[in-house]
Amino acid sequence: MKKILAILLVGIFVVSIPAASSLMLPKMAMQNISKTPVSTTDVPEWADGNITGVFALKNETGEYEILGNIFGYYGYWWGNVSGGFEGTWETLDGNQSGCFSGWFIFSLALGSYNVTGSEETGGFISLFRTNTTDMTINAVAWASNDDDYVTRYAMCSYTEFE
Amino acid sequence: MRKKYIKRNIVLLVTIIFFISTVAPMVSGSYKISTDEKGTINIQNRGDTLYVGGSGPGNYTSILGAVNDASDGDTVFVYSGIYYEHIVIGVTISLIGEDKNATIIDGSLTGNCIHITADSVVVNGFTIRKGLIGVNVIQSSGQKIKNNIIRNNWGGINLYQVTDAEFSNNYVTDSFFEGINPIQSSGNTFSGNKIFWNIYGILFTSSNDNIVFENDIKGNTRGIEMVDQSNNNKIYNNNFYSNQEDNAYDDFINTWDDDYPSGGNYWDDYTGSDNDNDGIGDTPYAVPGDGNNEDRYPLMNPFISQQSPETPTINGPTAGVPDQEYTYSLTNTVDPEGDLIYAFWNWGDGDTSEWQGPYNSGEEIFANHSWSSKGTYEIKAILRDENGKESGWATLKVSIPRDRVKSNSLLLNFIVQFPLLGKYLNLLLAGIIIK
Repeated sequence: MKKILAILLVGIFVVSIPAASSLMLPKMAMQNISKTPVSTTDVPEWADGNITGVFALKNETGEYEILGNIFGYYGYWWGNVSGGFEGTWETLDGNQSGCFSGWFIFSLALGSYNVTGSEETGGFISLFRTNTTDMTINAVAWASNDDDYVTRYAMCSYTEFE
Repeated sequence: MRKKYIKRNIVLLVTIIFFISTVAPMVSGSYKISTDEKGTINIQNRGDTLYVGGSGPGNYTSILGAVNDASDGDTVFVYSGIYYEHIVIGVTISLIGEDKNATIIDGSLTGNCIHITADSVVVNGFTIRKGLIGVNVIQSSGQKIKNNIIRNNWGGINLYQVTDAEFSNNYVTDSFFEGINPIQSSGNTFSGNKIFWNIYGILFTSSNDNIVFENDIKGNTRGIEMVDQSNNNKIYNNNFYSNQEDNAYDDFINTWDDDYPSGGNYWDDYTGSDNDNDGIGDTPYAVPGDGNNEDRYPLMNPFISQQSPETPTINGPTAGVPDQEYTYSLTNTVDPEGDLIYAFWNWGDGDTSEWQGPYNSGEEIFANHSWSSKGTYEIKAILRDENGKESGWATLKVSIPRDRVKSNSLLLNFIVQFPLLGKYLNLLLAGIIIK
């Protein structure tokens, strides 16, 4: 039943945006992306928890390479199966950073990202998995911008606010 | 003339024996030495066994240490324990764990647990956990990765340009990302695995001509997905349960069944009916994705893989004399499904039988053998049913008294080190016999 509901919601969402292709879909959330990085100390009112972790790529031979760190907040909309998120990312050497935001439903997340000091923006669609025992969220995301299409991996721990 | 020839050869033999007595003690290693029907001495490196852990004197304390000292054909046997290591295997070895639940390789999430670049490596009987990748196989072929528990890695098994490898009877669970990810890999088989609780159970990336059968694929975010022109893979007789987003997703052209009556896969979201009660749905299962693939013969109930025959018992004499033929039998030859069975014997002296049979399930199986040299031999026998499922090995030790004429292990060891000399010895002995 939950799955049917999810499919229905996603279906309605897609239908409501004419001519949306699967690759264009992630760009929907771009209008809402924050230009200001979220702060680790100023917790947004809507947040029900935060996430912190790393993001990585798989190189040509399939080995993971950690690219940088991410931090963000999430808030629930309906129960704990859907909601929104917003956060920041930064490469390990600190040379690049930016923001991301989006929404999730069940195991699917859609969002967008930008790069600080650049016009570059892009969208992503992601499958993720939550482990409530060790409080982790792992995600595989396909990110696209006007020029490129890449796969990124995120491994985060999360903290639920009281 | 004849006397002169014999005299010359005796001098040569004495010289050889002198070398044996001085050089042979330096020889190490284990070899399979046999003679064929023409009397030619054949030498094959059977490999050494290096031990890790346990309490034996001289055992290695790290798996990597043993692997680094191993050569092609060797076995590295690892006793139970937790080994915090990142193991790189660049030679063709068998890496065997004592107990897959208790022989643990832990990558501490700082590197890959096992990284393989050599052909035909075997990894059997480990828990492989907390690696960036549990088992990473790169640009090689013919590996056998079986009977392992591969869990809590970023990626469970990664293949890059790997061909003709087998991945069987592993638990691949709780990977942070992909359970199994073949990349540009072909001709591999994945069978009998339990692939649970990963984001992707199996993600095929630019990989063709692989076979996936008799696996349980459960609780993943997505069971199997084909990306980046992964075509011509065959997926059948698997059970897909409770995968959160999709049991499978395929934008390309792949085969999702094994024709009738073998059938396709069990899908827990299949809604068709089986009016003819043949266990196969009357309408195809549409595999999600843009490839318009379908499982033409979806199974109505979960696939239950064939059971292996029970491990038989070898009966017969445990002592004897050389060149005397003895009769041995196999009992406890029951196949759970009552299939016809075949038997294979390894007599411990380098001789093996062909697959003999077929026999009826439960039938006593007989075979005869004689040993030509003194020694203690381990007879091994195994059963295989008509579906290819094999039993465990049965064993029986047999002691054959000393045979002074034919036994000379020092000589054989020497020949191992100097194979040309072995050939000469063959000619020499042939010359003496003919003359």
